[in-house]
Amino acid sequence: MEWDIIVENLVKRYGIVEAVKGVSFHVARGEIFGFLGPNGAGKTTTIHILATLLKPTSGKAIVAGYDVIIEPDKVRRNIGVVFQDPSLDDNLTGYENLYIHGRLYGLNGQKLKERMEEVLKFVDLWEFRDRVVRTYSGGMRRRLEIARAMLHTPKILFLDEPTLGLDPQTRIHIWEYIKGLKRRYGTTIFLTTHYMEEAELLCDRVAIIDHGKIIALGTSEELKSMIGSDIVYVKLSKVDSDICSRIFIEGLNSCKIIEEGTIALQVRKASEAIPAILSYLDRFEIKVLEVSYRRPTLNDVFIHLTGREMRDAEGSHLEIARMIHRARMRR
Amino acid sequence: MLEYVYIMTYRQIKRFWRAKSRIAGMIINNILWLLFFGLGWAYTLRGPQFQMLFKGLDYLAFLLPATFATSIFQASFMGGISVIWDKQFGFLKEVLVAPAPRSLTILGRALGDAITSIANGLIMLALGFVLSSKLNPQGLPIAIAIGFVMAIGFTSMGIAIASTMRSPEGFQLIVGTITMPMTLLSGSMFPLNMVPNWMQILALVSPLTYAVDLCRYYLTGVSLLNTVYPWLIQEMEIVLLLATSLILAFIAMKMFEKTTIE
Repeated sequence: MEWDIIVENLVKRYGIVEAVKGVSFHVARGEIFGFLGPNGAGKTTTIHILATLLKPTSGKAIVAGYDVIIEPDKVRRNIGVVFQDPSLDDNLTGYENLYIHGRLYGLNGQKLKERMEEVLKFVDLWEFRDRVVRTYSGGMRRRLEIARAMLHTPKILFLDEPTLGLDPQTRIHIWEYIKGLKRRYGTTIFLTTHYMEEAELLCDRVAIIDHGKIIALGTSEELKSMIGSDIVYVKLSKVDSDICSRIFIEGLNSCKIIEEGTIALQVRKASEAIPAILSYLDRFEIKVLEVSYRRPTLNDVFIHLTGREMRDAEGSHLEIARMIHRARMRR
Repeated sequence: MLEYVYIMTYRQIKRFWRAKSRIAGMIINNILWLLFFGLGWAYTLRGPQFQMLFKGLDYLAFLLPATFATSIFQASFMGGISVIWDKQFGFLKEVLVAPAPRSLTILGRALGDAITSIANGLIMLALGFVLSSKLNPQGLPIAIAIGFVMAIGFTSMGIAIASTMRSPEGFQLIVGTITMPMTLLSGSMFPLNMVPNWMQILALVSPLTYAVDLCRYYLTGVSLLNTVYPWLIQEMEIVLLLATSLILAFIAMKMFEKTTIE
């Protein structure tokens, strides 16, 4: 296995605050690797260290085969970065933004022209290339930033919260482009997100990060199997308080009465448990009104590991401030 | 190496050119200032006794070349604010994460801003040629060269200060407190011959004083500074100006290399 990113015991301290507390992980070539965690968990700090914009307090990080502290220039040549906050020049056109980027990375002439055409077509912005970026929508800007980061054909692409502040439809579009990058160019992608679906849908492997530490790492299936159960909801015509003690099926972890005559059962496999549950209820002559079940999500994993919802863990006012800030920039 | 300098120069000029309303505002500002301040004093200070004061020049011929220098000074120093805008709007990160050496990208930036400041000064000077027939067009190339040297210096000064700051408001405050006294002390609006001794000494510390005197000398043939300090010949002034600009450019490069993102 070839590793494009090797991080060992990375620590970043600001004064007495430890933003990253000894993080270690490997990212394989061609993999989409995600950092999932609430705001303030240390995701952006980690990306900034890997992108050579911040120096770590201690620990080691090898990106594209080069140490970020010893050979930052070589790292920079091999990576593309899409920052969390916009980083385009609003007063220039999309084409000019790419042109400047290309020249800053040592590209020029026919080669640069060809690359610009390719990446702009890839993100479907070719026909908008001569418009000033100020007139672009939020999704177009994100796409232009992705195109720009891909212009110098980096081995590794860093995406910091690639769909933050975008509407759901645009978000799905951006996901398609990111998946396309992996398919078409085999680019290794390291992304951070606090959206569960994003991590689940895009990432080959996910590291859940909280308070500057990785608390779990694996494919999203592996992570979800940590909880090891589906949740079955059954709505009944009447609920006896002892109903749970009367249901015995294989693989039942817990049974709870939740509001409005509904019971929730944690089972190993919903598809096998549901017929058994129904036959029990039938035997007790309890009428079943509704049955539904839910596979555990990464949110359930986060709750399982930290005891709180990822949403609660966010500094919500901070998030709002950021959204307002972004909205202003987009105007 | 030069390609990194070039591309940032390209960007600064492109940005400047795109902001048409700012260019228009600048031109209007210049016209108003020259008309009301320049003509106002020119009519007030008419007569032979004042020509003595300006070593044979009338007030407009005294003022116009100096305005060329001071307008370049103000525009180039103010140019540093674009570093802060780039910090706020994120473009700075794009430059910092690129493999291009930071000292070269900042040099390109200074170069671009210097060129746009000279454009500003030339607009001012074009008006000058309209208002006065005493200016010597043959001195123009060397005046532009002097303007360029000082523009590099003051842009660098602006960039160096801006690198350490976060808000445009703070930068504006510093610019305000530095440009006003420097412009007044430079001998651009009144000759330094009559002012108190301590003021003359302060004036000598500021490189703008030399730039103003040099531009005046090459555009009208009159230097007022060497009546105060006979040892201050033009060559000496050029060396002092060049040295200051080089030092300021070097400081800006060093400061910018240390710039981090928050």
